[in-house]
Amino acid sequence: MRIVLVEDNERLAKGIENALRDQGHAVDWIGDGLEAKKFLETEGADVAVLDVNLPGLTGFEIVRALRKQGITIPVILLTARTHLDDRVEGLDSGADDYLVKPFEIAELTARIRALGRRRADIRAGVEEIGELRFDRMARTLTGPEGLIDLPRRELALFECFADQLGRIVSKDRISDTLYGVGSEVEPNAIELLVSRLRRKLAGTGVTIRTARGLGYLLDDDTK
Amino acid sequence: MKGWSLRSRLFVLIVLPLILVASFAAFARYVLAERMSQRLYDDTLLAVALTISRDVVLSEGDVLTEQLLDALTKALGDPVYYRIEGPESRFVTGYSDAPERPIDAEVQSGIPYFYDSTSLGLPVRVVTLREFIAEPQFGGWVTVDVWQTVNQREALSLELLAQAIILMAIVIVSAALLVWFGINIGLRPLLELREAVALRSPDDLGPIRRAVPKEVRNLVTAMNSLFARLSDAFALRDAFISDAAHQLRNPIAAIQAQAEAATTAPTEEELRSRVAELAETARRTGRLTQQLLSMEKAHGRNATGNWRAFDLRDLVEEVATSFAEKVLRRDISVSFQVLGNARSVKGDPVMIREAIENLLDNASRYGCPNGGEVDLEIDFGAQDVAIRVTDSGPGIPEEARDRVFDRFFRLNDDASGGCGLGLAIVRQVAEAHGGTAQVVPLANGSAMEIRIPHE
Repeated sequence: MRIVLVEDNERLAKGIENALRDQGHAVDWIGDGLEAKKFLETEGADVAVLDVNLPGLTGFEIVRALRKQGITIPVILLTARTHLDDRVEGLDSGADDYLVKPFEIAELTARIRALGRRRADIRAGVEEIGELRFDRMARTLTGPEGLIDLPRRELALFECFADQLGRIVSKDRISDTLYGVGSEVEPNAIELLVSRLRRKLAGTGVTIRTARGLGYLLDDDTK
Repeated sequence: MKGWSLRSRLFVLIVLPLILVASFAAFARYVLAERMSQRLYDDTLLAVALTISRDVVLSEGDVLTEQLLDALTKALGDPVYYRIEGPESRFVTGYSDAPERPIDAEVQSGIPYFYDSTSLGLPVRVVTLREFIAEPQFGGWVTVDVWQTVNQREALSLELLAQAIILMAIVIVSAALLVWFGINIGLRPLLELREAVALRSPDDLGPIRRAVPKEVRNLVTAMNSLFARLSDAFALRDAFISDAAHQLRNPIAAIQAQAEAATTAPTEEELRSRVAELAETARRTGRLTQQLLSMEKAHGRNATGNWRAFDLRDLVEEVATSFAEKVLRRDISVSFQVLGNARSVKGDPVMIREAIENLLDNASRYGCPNGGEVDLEIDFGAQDVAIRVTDSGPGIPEEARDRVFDRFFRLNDDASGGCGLGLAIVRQVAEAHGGTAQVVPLANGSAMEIRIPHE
């Protein structure tokens, strides 16, 4: 992938650049906000990694400017751990993900991979999660042993999880997605649905994990 | 008047009323003296009138002798004029242009009647007498008018007024001087105190010991207590900086050693493993500095300026969610529950988030290094709210329960990568919110909670 890294701390940038190159990515490093904005507007990138505090323009401003022009390059923001509001502002500005410094390089490369893959998958129309292949258009889910037969609701549940891969999805959200916003659904009904889906996904490289009181999380065990 | 100096305040407050009182006194004195001089002049005029009437009677209606008139004018300063009428307003003798008598004047026998009028365009003072004279020549009631110009009286009035003004001025000026010097002398202890404080070196935070007047003793006591608190705070900060420097020296020395060792690695495999160790050390150092910063932030944020009412339930759920996303795949199960009726909490949400993250990090790091359970609970009570984190780990020995919240205290120097600041931050945040942080004894595992009072 072609990654644009915008970071004014040269040593940190060097470290990230090396790690990304080692994984086979092409990296353009830019240390200035204004320059980065111009570069992204004209050259584009598969993924952009932007620091928030930059000379010239802040990371927020760059994302906002890009989104305003309809440029949808996936963006990961790197924020210093000073303000709670940073993350909110980051996501509001149109960034796809954020990482709080200091972070582990492995974490960054995983996020980049996820973003890049989502972009590739959307283009191909088929997502690969664990050993599953999920075709959103055809509404089919294929496992290592062939097509998995899922009723409409369970497929919708899987799609809801896949949209938030690796993220906790609350019961409220599941209920809103499956039955409509504000509908009164017995929590038991959702638990039942989840446990059925979980059984059908056994041995496919993905796991539905439960966090009591919070929700569920679809985990790709192969990553 | 708030910004005025004490000196000006005192001065104005004392001298202004003084001027008013002195003016009033001077005015009163002037009026009284004027009245007195008026009466004396009138008495004199009456005496002259009596003399004239007698003289005329004696001389049987003849003109007054020039000598007598001259003598009177000389003695009184103002020329004296007279006119005598017999019964039925018959002119007997004297000057013909007598001043006009007021219309309502009723001159009674034997009682002199005084009034102000004008004669030949000049203001005059007049006395009118009415007497019954049994001399055959007059044969009955005689009216005597005697008048005099008032130059002398007015001169005396002016003099009295000038005296009053001069007297008042002397009193006020001398009082003002006395007050001014009095204030300066009275305020001297304050000025000396100011000098003493101004001359202090920045390091000198000892109490002020000099004797001060009763009125400023409270101020000095308050200052001394501020000095004491400042000096405690500085001592704490110094200790923290020296602790921090000490704590940072070790990992940095390790990084240096490991980096140098990497340059001399004999094989590429060896090099990789040494660099991996180096990376791990650097990671821990990063975490340590992060925690030091948080600690510093918790300290600097103690002021309630960042406080606002916020939804604690939402905040904790958010923290729990991102914690779960991080640890679920490490075989740690996470649960979250809310007890009691959720209500909003007043405080600094950034610091409370920091505290909860530290509790969770602590639970996963020490409580379940190889998987286990972490439970997060918010318990809304009547007086306070408890945020409790329970893990299924080995628990905390009883003797260490009070000390785990101390800075740089670590249960064992293991490979968990902790730096001994997480729980210190937790306690600092809890205490900044008027609450507490403590270990809750459990049969299995350990639980820690922070309690924050509602008000």
